[in-house]
Amino acid sequence: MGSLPRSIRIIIISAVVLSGLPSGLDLRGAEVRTVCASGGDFTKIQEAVQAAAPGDTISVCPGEYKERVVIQKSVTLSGAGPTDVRILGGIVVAGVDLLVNLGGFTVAGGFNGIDVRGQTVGLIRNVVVTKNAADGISVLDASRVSLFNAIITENGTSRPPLEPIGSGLYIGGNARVSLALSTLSKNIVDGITLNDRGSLEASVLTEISENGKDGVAVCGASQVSLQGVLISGHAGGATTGGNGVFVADRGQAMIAGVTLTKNKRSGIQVGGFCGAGIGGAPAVGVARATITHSTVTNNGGHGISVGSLLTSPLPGNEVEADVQAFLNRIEGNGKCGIWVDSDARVDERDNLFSGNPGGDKCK
Amino acid sequence: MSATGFSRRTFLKSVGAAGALVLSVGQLGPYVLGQKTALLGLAVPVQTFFGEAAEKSLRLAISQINAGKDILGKDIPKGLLGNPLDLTVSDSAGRGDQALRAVQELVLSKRADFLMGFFFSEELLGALPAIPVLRKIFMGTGAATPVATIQVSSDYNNFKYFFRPGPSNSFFILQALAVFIRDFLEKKQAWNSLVLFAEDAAWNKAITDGMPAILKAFGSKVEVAKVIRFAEDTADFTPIYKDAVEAMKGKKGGLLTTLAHTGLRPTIQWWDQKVPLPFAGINVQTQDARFPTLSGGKVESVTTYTSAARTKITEKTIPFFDAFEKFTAFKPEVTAPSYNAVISYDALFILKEAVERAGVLPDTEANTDKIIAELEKTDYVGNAGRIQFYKRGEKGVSPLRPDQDFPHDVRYGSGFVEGVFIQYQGKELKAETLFPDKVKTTDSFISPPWLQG
Repeated sequence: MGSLPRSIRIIIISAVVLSGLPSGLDLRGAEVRTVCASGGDFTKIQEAVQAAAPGDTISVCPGEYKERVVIQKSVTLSGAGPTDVRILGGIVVAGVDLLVNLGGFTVAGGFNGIDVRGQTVGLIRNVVVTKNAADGISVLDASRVSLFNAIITENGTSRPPLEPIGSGLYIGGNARVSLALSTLSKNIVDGITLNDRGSLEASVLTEISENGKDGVAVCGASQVSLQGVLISGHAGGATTGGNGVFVADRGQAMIAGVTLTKNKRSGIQVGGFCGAGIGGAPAVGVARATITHSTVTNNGGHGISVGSLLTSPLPGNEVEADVQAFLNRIEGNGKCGIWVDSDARVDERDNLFSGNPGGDKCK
Repeated sequence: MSATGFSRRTFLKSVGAAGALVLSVGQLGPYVLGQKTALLGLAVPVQTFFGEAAEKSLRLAISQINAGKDILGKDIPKGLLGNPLDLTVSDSAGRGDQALRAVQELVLSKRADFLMGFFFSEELLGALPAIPVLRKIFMGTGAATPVATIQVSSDYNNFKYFFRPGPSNSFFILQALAVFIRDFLEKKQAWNSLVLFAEDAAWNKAITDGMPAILKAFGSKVEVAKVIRFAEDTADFTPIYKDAVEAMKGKKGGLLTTLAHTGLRPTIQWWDQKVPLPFAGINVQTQDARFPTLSGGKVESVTTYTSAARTKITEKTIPFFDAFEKFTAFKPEVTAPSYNAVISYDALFILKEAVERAGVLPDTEANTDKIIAELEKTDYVGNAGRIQFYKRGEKGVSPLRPDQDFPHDVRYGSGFVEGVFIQYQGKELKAETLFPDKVKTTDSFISPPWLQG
């Protein structure tokens, strides 16, 4: 991150900040309330939140705060920095139509690290979210969040024989997140999971690596746009996961200028089984992806895998997966460059293939 | 700081002093309690009949509890330790991932004190990992997978919060089916064979795997001619029914159903195709009061197992069914309780009694443990029967898994919760109870119209 010219970083950050700022936030008369072990207005963050009026800022001194913070009003929660301020218990933003601005702290020891619901518009920046029991950050209920300069790592719980829980970032319930300048690594499930019409725009200098299942999983009619992102080193389980990007069940992905490398299975898997729908019925529908100007190298399986052997299209759907792939570099993968199942469709042009032992394109 | 003469800090000190006064007054006794609402969080698939029925059942129970009356009109202590009780609902949507987020929402956002619910086992399995973290008492009232209570057994300290007052877990449902097959279908209807007809789901795996062995163990001579586990998105059952009929050639019997998620489509096609085999076993969707309309009335003669029906299982059962129908404050169009609605109602009264015996609300870990200890001592006569929970280390309760204990599962068997088998009969498709004999409402077991006469 440090190698980028300062002017470009400022432009990027400004764009991200402005895209996430609530346009209607009236800061006139807003107060700053301090939370410190001693000498501040409060010693607990929650007490400050309770006392705050909409638009107020809660400024948190260096220290460790063992509490779950529940925010039900439009406030700014600002810490002295993630190395200095540790909130141990998680943050829940739960109201209706809130405008919140969070940053400058580490969040650990919560259920989800930061849980945003209720059509909240939020800006989350300069945070470390780690070692929470479930998701690092969860965004639901048609909320819109801009997230940048975040490190989201080592969240989730594995308690065999139960299914593991906890992705770095979970987006569902028609929520929308823009993400930049962040790292999501070593979370128990996916780096980022989208389900139930979630939407994500992830861009520059974001790294998604070594998460337990897939780098980015796009399910349940969700949409993702990835630009300039590095996705690497996903090992997955015995039979699932291990893809850089996994798109299925009506998911849609636009992947441009992305590097996908050293994932155990495919760099990109389009089509497959997302999980059960209501009553356990397999949830499948056409998955679509456009992949362009990306580098797909040294993945253990196929570079790009389209369709799956596990499922067949729902009645009424022509194909399980539909992919366009242009101008990509696809090389050194363990099997095929692009593998296409019989119930899938691919339009590929001007890709550069080399060193894929299964062949450049295979069925 | 504020611009007014009354500084914020002074104000906060005043508020703090007032708060301390309120707290100290709170120590005086129960007469000044009743200000904190105890909140029950219900996670169900709200778009389904089973979600609506469970919510309606709980709203009925809460109205009675807050009024201080039980289903028989007897006086009971109001609320929970004098505190009014309320309900909040989150949608588990029939999916594991959504169920996980529903319980999170109930605890973290809505601040529920207790949790209850689920209908699909997939929901329960998805949310189970949250239980050790949320550490809230969870009354499972719809899903039958044994995994949950096996988890209580293997990791008690983390999963002690989970109790299942019903339904019986799949192993005990299998026992109930085996007894019904032996004592009713075999002895009274002269069945000698059956085809196991099951949706491919987590909850019934133990049933289809264990049926041949348990029939033999229970002294039944009925043979399993074929086991069919079909994908839940199966659109056309024609070849499946053909296979079943083929397997039953020269034998007397029918389709032994284990359907919870998928009953409508297979039942309609069974009727339309006039499959020459009766439909008996478990067909949960038929408990949806709208099923006759949705299926065009194609449910006559279908037999299903359920936790309770409108028959005198206990002195409370019929009054409960009648009160449910008359309760119009929520979803008046839901006129009959599904099995999970019956159980949810009982579960809330069990919880209330445990809280009152413990004398505390679950506001600390220690108090939660006190309530758990009291729940483990439950001996409650509800709508579905006499309800106790199996103890830790109590093995040998299931012949299929003699070495396994199922702590916090409802005790199954005669004198406790057995469930009943009902059949939809006549033009009005009235749910008549066939079995067990002590609660039956009819002696007549009817065949589908195309097999009559």
